[in-house]
Amino acid sequence: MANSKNRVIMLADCQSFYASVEKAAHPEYEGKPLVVSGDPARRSGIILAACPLAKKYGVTTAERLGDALRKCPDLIVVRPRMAEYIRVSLQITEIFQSFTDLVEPYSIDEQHLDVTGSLALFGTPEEIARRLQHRVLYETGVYVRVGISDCKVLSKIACDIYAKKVPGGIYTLRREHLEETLWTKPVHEMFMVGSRMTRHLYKMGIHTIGDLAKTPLPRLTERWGVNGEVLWRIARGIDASPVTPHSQLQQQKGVGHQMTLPRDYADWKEIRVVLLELCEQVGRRCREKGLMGFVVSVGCQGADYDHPTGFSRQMKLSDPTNITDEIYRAACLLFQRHWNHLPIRRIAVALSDLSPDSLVQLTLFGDRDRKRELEKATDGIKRRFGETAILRASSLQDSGQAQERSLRIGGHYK
Amino acid sequence: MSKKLQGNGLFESSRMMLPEHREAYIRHQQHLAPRQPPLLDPQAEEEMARVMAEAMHSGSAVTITLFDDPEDIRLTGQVLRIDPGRRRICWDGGDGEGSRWIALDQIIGAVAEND
Repeated sequence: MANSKNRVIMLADCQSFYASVEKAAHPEYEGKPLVVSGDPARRSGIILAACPLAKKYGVTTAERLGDALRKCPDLIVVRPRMAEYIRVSLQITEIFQSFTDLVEPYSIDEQHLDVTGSLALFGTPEEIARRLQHRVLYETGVYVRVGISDCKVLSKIACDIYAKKVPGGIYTLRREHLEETLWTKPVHEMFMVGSRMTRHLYKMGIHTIGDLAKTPLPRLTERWGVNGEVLWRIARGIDASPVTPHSQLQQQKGVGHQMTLPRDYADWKEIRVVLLELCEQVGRRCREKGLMGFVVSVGCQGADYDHPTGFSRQMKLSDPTNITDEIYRAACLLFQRHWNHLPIRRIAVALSDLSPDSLVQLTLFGDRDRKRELEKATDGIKRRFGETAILRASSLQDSGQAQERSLRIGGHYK
Repeated sequence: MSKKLQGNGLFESSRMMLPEHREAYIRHQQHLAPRQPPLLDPQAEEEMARVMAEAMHSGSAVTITLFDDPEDIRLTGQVLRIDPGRRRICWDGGDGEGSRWIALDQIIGAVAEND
C-alpha cells in the first residue's frame, strides 16, 4: 500500500467507447465487427470508433468509411448517438464517484481518480482498479483500462503505454522504476507528443522518453518555451496537478459556438445567415444561464488547413448583453472589418466577460425591453417544442444550417 | 510562471470535452452537492404564519412547501393545530393517512387554496 505522502492517482480509459456503447445496446451484434461512423453522405463520413474486432481487420479510427468497408466488407456501420455517449460517460463518472469524490473527466472516455483516501475502505490500488473495471463492465458493457501511479501525468502514461496493452488492462507505473520502464520507450508514445513534435525531437537526437528526460532543460525551453518545459516535466513524471471535480469545468468564462460548413462560403449574403444562427445560439445559451457578456468575438478559417486563412477578432460592447440582435450587430461589424473575402469553411462566435443578467443597466437607446420579451417568447417555444419549432426566415435559405445543426452534438448525430 | 506549469493547468488546457458533455457534467455535480435551505425574510415568515393560522381557523385548504433534497415537497391539506412552543404544526394531508407533525423550520412557503 502506498505510504501517506504518496498519492494514488488513476486514469480510467474506456476501450472503443462509442462502439462499446453500441454493442451493449445491440446484443445482436455480439461477435461481429462494428464501427460508429458519421453520415457517409457528408464530409464527416469517417470512422469515429471501431470495436476491437473491427480493429483486427485493420480498421482504424478517423479513416474513411469507404476504406474501412474495403478492409472488412461485413462491417456493421452504426450512426453515432452522441447524447447517449454523454449519458453513459456520466454514468461511469457516477460509478467512479462511489469509490472517491475526487473524479475529474478529461474527455468523454477518460477520467482521472484520486483514490488515496479510499485505500482503507476498498483495498489496494489494483483491487480498486479491478472493482472499477468490473462494475463499469457490468453496468454499462464498457471495458475500462486503468493506469495507476502517483500523479496524473504518470497515470495517463501508465494507461496509454501499458494498461491498454497488457492482459487485464491494469498497470501500475512506479516512480522508482521509471528509468527501466518508461524511459526506454520511444518518445512518440509519450503524452502530449504528436507527430510534428516527434520529428523535431528526432532531429535533436531525442529518440526515447529517457533521452528527453536527460536533455538539459534550457535546450528545450530555448526552442519551445513553456511547452518545452511541459514535455521535460512529463518525461520525468513531475506533476503536482490535483484531481479536482471543481475544475474550470464549472466556471464558465465565455459562451461560444462554432460550426464547420458543408462547403466553402464566399458570399457575405451566405455567411451572414450562419453568423446570425451562431449569434442566436450563443445568445440563447447565455439567456438560459442568466448571463450577459461584454465582449463579442468572431473567428473564421479557410478550408485548406495547410494554408491557413481567416481571422479571429473581438470587440467590447458599450453595455453587456445577451440579446441576439446586439451580438449579431457586433459580429457583423467585426466580420466586415476583418474578413479578406477569401472562402471560409469554419466560423465561430463567442461572448465573454460574463456577468449575471439579474442587474441590467438601463440604456437610453434601442428598444431592449421589447427584444427581451420577444426572445423570452421564442426561447420558450424552442424549449417546449424543439430547436427548430421557430426559426429565422433567413435560416430557410440554402446556406442556413440551423435545421441540420439541431440534429447534432459535436458535429455528429445526437 | 505559465498557467500550464501550475495547478491543474496542464489538464485544463488539454482537456477535450464537448460543450454538451460539460453542461451535463455541471448539472450532475450540482445534483451531488446538498441543497441549502433558503433564508427566509422575517416578513415572509410572518405571512406564512398568518396564512396557516387563518386556514386553521376557517378549516380551509392550504398548500405548503417543505424544503427537501433533492427537491422541495409541496403538500396540500389542512392545518389542524399550531404548536408554537415546539415549533411545529399538526397536518392532515387529506389522503386518509391521518394527521402528522411537521416542523415549522422545514416549511418555506404557504399559500391559501381559495376554492
